[in-house]
Amino acid sequence: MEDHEYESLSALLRTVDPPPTSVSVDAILDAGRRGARRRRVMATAAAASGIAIVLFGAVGAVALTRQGTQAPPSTASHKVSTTPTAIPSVTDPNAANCTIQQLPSPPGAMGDMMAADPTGRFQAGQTDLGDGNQGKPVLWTDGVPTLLTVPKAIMDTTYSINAVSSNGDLALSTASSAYRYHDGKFTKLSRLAGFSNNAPSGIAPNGDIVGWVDSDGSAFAAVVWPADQPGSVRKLATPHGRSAEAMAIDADGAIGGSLGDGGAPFVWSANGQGHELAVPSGYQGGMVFSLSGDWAVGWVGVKGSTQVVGARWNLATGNVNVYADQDEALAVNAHGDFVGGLGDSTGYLFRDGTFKDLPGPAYGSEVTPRSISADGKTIAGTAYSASSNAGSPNVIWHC
Amino acid sequence: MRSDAEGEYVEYVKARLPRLRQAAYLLCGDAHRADDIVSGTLLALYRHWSRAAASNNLNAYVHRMLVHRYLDEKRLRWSRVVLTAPDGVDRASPEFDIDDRTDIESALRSLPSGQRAVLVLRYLCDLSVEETAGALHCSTGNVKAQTSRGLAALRPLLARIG
Repeated sequence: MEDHEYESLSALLRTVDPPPTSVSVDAILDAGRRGARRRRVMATAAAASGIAIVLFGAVGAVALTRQGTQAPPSTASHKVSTTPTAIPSVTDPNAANCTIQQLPSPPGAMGDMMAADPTGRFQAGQTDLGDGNQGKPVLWTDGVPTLLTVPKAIMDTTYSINAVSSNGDLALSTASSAYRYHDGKFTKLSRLAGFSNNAPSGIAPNGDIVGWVDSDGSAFAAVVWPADQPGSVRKLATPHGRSAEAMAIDADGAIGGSLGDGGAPFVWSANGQGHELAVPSGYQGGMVFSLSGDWAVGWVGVKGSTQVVGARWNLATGNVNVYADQDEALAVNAHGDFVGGLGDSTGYLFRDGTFKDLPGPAYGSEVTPRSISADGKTIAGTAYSASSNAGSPNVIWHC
Repeated sequence: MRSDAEGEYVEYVKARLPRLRQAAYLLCGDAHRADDIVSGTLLALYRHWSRAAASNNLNAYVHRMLVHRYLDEKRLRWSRVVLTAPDGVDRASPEFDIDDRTDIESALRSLPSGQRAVLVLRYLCDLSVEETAGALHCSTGNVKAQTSRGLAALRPLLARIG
């Protein structure tokens, strides 16, 4: 690419003048300071059963400690370097005590883990051949990667891996279709009448897949594709037939997601009965990303902003905990331990009542944990580093 | 946050805000969504300031955060955006206006999201190929391929403007 072309495009992009903004640095400072000061968010919300909900943001103290013990940044550190600095557990006093296992990539391709099963045995994702083309899906089994042969219809387009079960089954989608992978074979998921797009999101140990269907119009519906009835798809019941999304299914067949698109966190019991989960005052909207036994996790929205924060619900009592200083919670076990993080910095692990950081192998890695085991000690996910010599981004934390 | 650190944050954000707004707007093409992306990025930056400021390249770190929010579909699936498009996918040619600025916005919007993202990160945000690959979680080879496809699509516009 020629220099003058670079200059032309750079200059041209810099002339773009976005329409007037509502972004206020002062408002962001206020929000940031409130978050840092907050030790306890006390709010009440009436659950459907009328039980008062007590909430607390448990992490104010942790955040203050973390920020209080680090030296203020100096401008001298803003230099470009290609070597990663020290492993974070040395410099981060709040790092969880974990060893990091970096998963090998399959030969000739860079793997990108998108899904992990709760047990920690299976992880799956897309691959990048390094020449602008996508490779075959990768499935790690007990730490060993294999590339999966896919039908031509999938190889001819772009796919994403959406979920993997504790039996090594997958849910995969392309722009036009979705598939279940079981026992070496890909089978297309059926369409629900009136909807043109299938979006699988979660898969149970028995192979049942949950997700939603939509069209180019505005309607969408939460559905399940049962493994034992190939070719069928069933809509999940919602109040007044409201649109909904299903995001996850647990080993008992309970399903979590939202009414609307994050309009309200919602759970369907294994018997198909659905109910909204509590959202405390000061918050609005929410979604369940993961559920196990009596626990569900995800996010709730901060009222009056587009910010979302982590939340955990006890499905037996209706209680909700909102973690105002944490990003969305991504995976939970039956003990109520959970992991989360949007991948900006460290991820987090909540276990034994405290939050710890989940660092990547290189300082400043962007961490997204995807699964947590029943004992809370095995966590799979990704840790991307800006440095090219940080090794595989696909990792398992042994905590 | 201690007041000296907060002072540095404010100074950085005020200097960088116009570029971040340009990037968000060019990536998503919608002013309201761009504001959401920028606000979310700045708030997250406040929370992670000590870590961000200690990183090797603060600008690249912040642009990575911004791109994550742009790619954020269901707030879980942001990295599901796949950057490769099959060969032979037709893109309708944009109708170019006389106004150069509107041309570049339309031209970018007509590109697949992966090409748009690499061009904005490399030519507006000045990220290197490696940094761009890090932000988009793909290989440097993928970044180079997306760059050359994107530039090929924009070449007629760049030639006209000269």
